[in-house]
Amino acid sequence: MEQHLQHDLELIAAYAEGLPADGDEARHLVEVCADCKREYDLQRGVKSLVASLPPVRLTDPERLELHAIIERLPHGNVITMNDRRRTQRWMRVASIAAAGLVLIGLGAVFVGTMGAGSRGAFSTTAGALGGNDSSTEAMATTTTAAGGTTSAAAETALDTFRLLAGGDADAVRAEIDALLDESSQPLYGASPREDATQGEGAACADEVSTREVLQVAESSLDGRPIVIFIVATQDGREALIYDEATCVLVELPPE
Amino acid sequence: MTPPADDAALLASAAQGDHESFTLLMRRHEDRVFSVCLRLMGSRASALDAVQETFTTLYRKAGQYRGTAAVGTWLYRITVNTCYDLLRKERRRPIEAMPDYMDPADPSGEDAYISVELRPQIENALASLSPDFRAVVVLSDIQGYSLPDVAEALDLPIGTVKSRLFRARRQMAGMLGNLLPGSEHQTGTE
Repeated sequence: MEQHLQHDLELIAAYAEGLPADGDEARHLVEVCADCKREYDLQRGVKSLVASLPPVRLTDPERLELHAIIERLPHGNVITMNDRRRTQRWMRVASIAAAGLVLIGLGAVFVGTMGAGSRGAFSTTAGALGGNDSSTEAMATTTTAAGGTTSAAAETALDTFRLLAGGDADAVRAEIDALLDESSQPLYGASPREDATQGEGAACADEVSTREVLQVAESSLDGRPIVIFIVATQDGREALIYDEATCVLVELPPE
Repeated sequence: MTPPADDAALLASAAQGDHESFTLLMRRHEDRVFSVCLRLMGSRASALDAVQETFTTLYRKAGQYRGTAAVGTWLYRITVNTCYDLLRKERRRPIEAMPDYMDPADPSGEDAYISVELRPQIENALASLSPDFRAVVVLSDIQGYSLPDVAEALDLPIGTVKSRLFRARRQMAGMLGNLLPGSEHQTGTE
């Protein structure tokens, strides 16, 4: 009885949707069966109520903001933002990076060693940017430039941004400091803090400008601003994380 | 260059870098995408984030469109997946009332009763659904998609769509019982 009733009720629900294949039998059931009639009324009633909700639309300011954001999508090099409220900040950071200005003063280096291929030196890989939420995905181990390993929970790039945006500076600081301490060889060969605007500084800016930038975030650690660019690679993603003195390349697990 | 009018042609042009075509395509669909995002995300701020992510994804993946479904259907799939992704990352299920939901451009006065009196109750019932159920109801009952189109948009078998819709409405009926015809027959999930 229960099995038959279940079949009938789903038939009634389909009839309530106006599906013609279920019409004749369902119509008969609605006429002769009180339960079927009740189910039909329920399905139709809820559908009608939900459909009565007035349409929602973007407000004009929201529309303009959306258009402005989309308008800035570069051809063939799409930048996505996890938080549209950072749009203005992203614009400032992007322009600074393009000019290499973020590295002026103290210089910056890629921390790592030169590797083969056009990707450059990513012998240092790390995903550890704080967070210990076991439900996050894509964990990775870390490897220092010297070849040792540090184990840490890694988050996806999006979670990383959110973590940084949320200001969990202690966790981020600890990881980046660990990476900086462990890394000993600058990417392009010069001493980390000796070059101001040439060499490593320009190279770091150049690296960003030639890559497909997926996401950008800005945060600060102990008052020093840091910028994170998530860039696409042939095999996945990497993060360029740099403050006024150092640039760190971090390989991220794939999405 | 005058952009072509057809959605598929606009998308193809956008894939070639024609920003004007993409903008035109976006303007055609932005309100519908926003409607879906708002119903799924449960807050205006999150919905706006989702809309931005959706169109950015569409822009990035324009070249991947194969024409097996209508552009609108494909866009709905991107929209729903984007919302699912953001909901998962935000680890939030909007089951509370959504007072910031009120559309500033409310419809005409003859619908005022429905808008003011019934809307919160209906919206709360909708928000009480899981995202999977809510997506089916939103696409079917709000956006007006046929069940086959809903199935295509959500990449689900049509039987699954039917089942989810059936169960979702039963669940909502438990919260909307007083508003339904024959309200003495309140039903809930089994």
